[in-house]
Amino acid sequence: MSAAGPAGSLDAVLDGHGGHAGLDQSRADTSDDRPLGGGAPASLVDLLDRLLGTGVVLAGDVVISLAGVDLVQVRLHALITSVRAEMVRGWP
Amino acid sequence: MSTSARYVYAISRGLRPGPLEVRGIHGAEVEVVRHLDLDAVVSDVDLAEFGEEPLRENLEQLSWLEDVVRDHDRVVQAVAQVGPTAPLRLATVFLDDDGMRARLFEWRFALEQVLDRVTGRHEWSVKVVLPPAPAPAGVGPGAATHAGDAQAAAGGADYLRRKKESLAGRVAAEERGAELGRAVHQALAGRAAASRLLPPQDPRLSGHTGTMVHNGAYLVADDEHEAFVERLRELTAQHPDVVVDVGGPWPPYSFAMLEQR
Repeated sequence: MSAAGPAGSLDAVLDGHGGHAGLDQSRADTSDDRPLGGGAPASLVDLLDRLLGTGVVLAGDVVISLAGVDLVQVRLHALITSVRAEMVRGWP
Repeated sequence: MSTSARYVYAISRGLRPGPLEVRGIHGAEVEVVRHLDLDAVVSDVDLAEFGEEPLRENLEQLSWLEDVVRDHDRVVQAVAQVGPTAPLRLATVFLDDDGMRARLFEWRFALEQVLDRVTGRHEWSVKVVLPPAPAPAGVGPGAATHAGDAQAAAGGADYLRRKKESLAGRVAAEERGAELGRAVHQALAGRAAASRLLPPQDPRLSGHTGTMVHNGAYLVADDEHEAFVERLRELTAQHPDVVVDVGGPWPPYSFAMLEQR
């Protein structure tokens, strides 16, 4: 996967031909009957950056909920080295 | 025996209570549960999978993690199409709706503030990658293959000198890269409602080659994104030798933190 993989080059994004939706789609249509889920795709690593590290922290009843996020990230990190091949398979 | 629990994807407001069209974790039905003026977007999960112990184990299975991350993102993206969205961190699980309501009550003011902050805004990702420097000529095996001992010795000294220069060059390139990263961030942050610096990504995860000198997230107002993109165009034109990677528009994942208020 090149650097212009899931997160496209600027021109690709601006032209709307990249892995991302064009800019026009950034304007959310608020009508209720539009097909849902039409946003721009993010790569797994971009999602992991955001979903494990940030987002509203609303501790649930299942308290592991990433209260131990550091631990999770460390383990992920260790995992990365061993399962790179497996991950590539799962990527778009 | 399986017991179900409630997985919360995001908090929004002004949604229509009831089922959503989008599917959640493992294809589960997603519904909107209103409490106060807040709409929680939730689905059922199995505690045998999302309870504390199994969750800990599952988080270490990359294929499981990827599926859940993608399911979570799909729902958040869908919610972001129809209302202001505060995405929750992965795997926020309550035993039942009462537990969830109690927490929403506790966090209601902060959640309102988060929703105010992200309304009419989207997140953009901008990464700057320096391509790998080409190996300088004359450094490397075979560079010092001269006939004759004197020449070989001179070649050896030469080799060391060139190697030293190459290292100095690499350090200088890294410094330039860091400087460029700071400049890009400064320029873009000026066009954004908020910005965050994320750690550079591991190339083994992202697949990029070269050095990632900048990984930034920008919360950009929808009516400001033209100006933001124009600024990006200028920056890429000024630095044709680097790869500028842009992603978005995304839900405001990096800007929904309660602690940040």
